[in-house]
Amino acid sequence: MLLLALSLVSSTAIGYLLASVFLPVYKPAWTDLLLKVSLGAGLGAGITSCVYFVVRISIGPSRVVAFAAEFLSLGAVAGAFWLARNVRHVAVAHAMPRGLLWWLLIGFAAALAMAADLFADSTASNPYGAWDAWAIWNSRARFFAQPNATWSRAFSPLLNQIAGAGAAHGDYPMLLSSYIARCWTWMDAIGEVAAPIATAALFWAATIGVLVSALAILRGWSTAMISGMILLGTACLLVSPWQYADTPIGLYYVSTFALILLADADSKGTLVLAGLAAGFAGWTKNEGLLFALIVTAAVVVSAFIAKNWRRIGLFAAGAAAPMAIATYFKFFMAPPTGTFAQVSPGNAMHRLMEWPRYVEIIKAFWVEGLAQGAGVANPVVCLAVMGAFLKFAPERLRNLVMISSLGALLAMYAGYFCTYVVTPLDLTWHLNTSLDRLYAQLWPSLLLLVPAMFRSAEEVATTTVTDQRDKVTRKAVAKKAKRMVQRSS
Amino acid sequence: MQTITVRYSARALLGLGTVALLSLYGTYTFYSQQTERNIVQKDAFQIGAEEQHFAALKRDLAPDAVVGYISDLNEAGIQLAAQYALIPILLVDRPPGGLVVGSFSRPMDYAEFGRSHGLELIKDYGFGVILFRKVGK
Repeated sequence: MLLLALSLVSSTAIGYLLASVFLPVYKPAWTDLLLKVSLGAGLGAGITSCVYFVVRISIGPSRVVAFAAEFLSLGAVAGAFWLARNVRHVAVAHAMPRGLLWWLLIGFAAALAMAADLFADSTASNPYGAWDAWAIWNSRARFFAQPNATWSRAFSPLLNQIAGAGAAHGDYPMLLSSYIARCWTWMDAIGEVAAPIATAALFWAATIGVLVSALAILRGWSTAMISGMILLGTACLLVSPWQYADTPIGLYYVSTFALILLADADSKGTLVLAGLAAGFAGWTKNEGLLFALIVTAAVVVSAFIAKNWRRIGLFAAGAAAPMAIATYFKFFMAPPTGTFAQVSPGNAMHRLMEWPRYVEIIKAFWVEGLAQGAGVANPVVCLAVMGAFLKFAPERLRNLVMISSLGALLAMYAGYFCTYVVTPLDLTWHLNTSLDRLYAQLWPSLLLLVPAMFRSAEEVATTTVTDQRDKVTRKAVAKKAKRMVQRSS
Repeated sequence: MQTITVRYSARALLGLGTVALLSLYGTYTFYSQQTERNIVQKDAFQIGAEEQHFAALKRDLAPDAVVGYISDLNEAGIQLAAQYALIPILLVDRPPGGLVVGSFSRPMDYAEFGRSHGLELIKDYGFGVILFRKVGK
C-alpha cells in the first residue's frame, strides 16, 4: 500500500512541478495549492502513463527501465521547476470568504463528505468496479503490466473475442490502462484492486479540485463553492467509483477549459498545459480525440480573430506529444475492432436520413438529462436559478475565449449526438449503456464555463472600509471629496 | 485600524441559498439511493470469487497460453469475468493447442458434457472449473 501511495505521489509531483513552471503563483495560497495539485494529479498521470507506455513498446517489460524513465521524468520537471518556475504573483480578488458566504463552505463540506462516503461504500460493494472497468480498462491494464511478452495482449484483436465483437476494445486509447499497469508495476502486485480504486479516487478528487480552484481564481469564492456543490449533486457521483475512463476524460476536458480561461486572464504560457490536457483526453478515450480536434479548432479560431498566432503554437506544443503517441497507437498498434471501424460512408449516410433515430436520441438525451439530478434538484435547474439571480456579465458574453470555449463544449454535445445517429450498434442498447457516462464526462466543463459567464455574488456586493479611529467611512470621504471637486469646478 | 464590511445583495444570497439547498438535496438523494442499492449489488459478476475459482487452473497453465472457453451459460458477463480472472492467459474461440477451459454454474456430468462437444476432460478443479482438450488434438 505504501508503494501505491508513493506511485501516486510521484506522478502527482511530476504534474505539480510542471504546472508550477507555467502557472503564476496565485494568492491566496489555497487556490494556488489546490489548482496545481489537482491539475498535477491529471497531468502527472498522463505523463507517467505515456512514459510507461513508450518504455513498454520500445524496450519491453523491464521494471528497472520503467522506474528509471519515471525518475528521469521527475528529475527533468524538477530541474525545469528549479530553473524556470513562474514566480509572478497574481492576487486573486474575492477568493477568500467574507461575511455570510462562509456558510457555503459548510454546505460544500457536507456534500463532499457524502460524496466521499458514497465512493467508499460503492467501492466496498464492488471493489473491481463496474462492467467496463474489469472487462476493458483494468483487464487491459492487467495484460499490459505483465513481466513477459503477454503484455502486448492488451491490444490484441483476440482480446474478449469469446464475448463477441461488441466486447473487443483493443483499439481504445491506453492512458488509464497504462497508468494502472504502472501502479501495479510499482507495487509488484498485478491485479491488486487498490490501484484502480486509488486511481478512480485520484481522478474524481482532482476533477472537483480543478473546478473549485479554477473558479475561485477566475470568479471568486461563492461561484467556486456553488459550482462544486452542483457537481457533487449530479450523477457523476455514481459514475466516479465505477473505475471507468469517463471520470479521467472529464478531468482532462475541464482542465483544458480551465487552463484556456486562466491563460486568457493571466499567462499565455499556460496554453501549453491546456494543449497537454487536451492531448491526454485524446490518449484516454476515442471521444477525447474528437475533443482534441474541436478544442484545437476553437483555439485556432479565437487566435485568428485576435490575430495572436502565438496561442496556436503554445497549445500545439503541449498537445503534440500525447497526440503523437495516441496517433501512433491508433495507426500502428490498435486492432481494427472499434465500434466505428466497420462503418462505411454509405451506411452512415443511410442512418443520417433515418429521422426516427433522431427522435429516439432526443428522447434519450431528455430522459437521461432528467436522471442526472434528483427531481427538481437537476444541475440544469441549478444553473438556471443561478443565472436568474446573478445574471450574465455582459462583458463575458463578448469575451472571445469564453465564447469559443463554450462553443467547443456545445460542439462536443453535438458530436456525441451525431455519433449516436451513425452508430452501427443497436441504437437503443448503445444509448442505454453509454449516455449516462457521456453526461458525466461533460458536467465538470459545463459547470466551469456557464457559472464563469455569470456575475459572482462578490462582484455585485458593496464593500465598505471603515476607519476605526474616527468612524468615518472611506466611502463617505470619497463622496465628500467628489462634492468638493464639483464645487471648485 | 480598518474593518471591511461586505454587503451582499439579497437577490444574490437568495440565489446562492436556493442553489446550495437544491444541490445538497441532489447529493443526499443520490447518496441514500445508491447506498441502498450497494447493499444488494455486491460484486454483481462475482469477479472476486472467479479469481479464487480459477486460481488453481491458472497455476497449471503457462502464462502465455491461448485456450478456448466453454460454459453452460452463454452470457458475456460470465465469459469476460473468466477472462479477467485468467489474465495473462488469453481465451479465444479457436485455441491453437486444443485446450479448453470449462466454467459451469451448476454440478453436472462434465465428462459427458465434454464428449457431447468433442472434448475430453483433463482435470476437474472444483467450483465448476474444468480443463478439457479437444478430441484428436
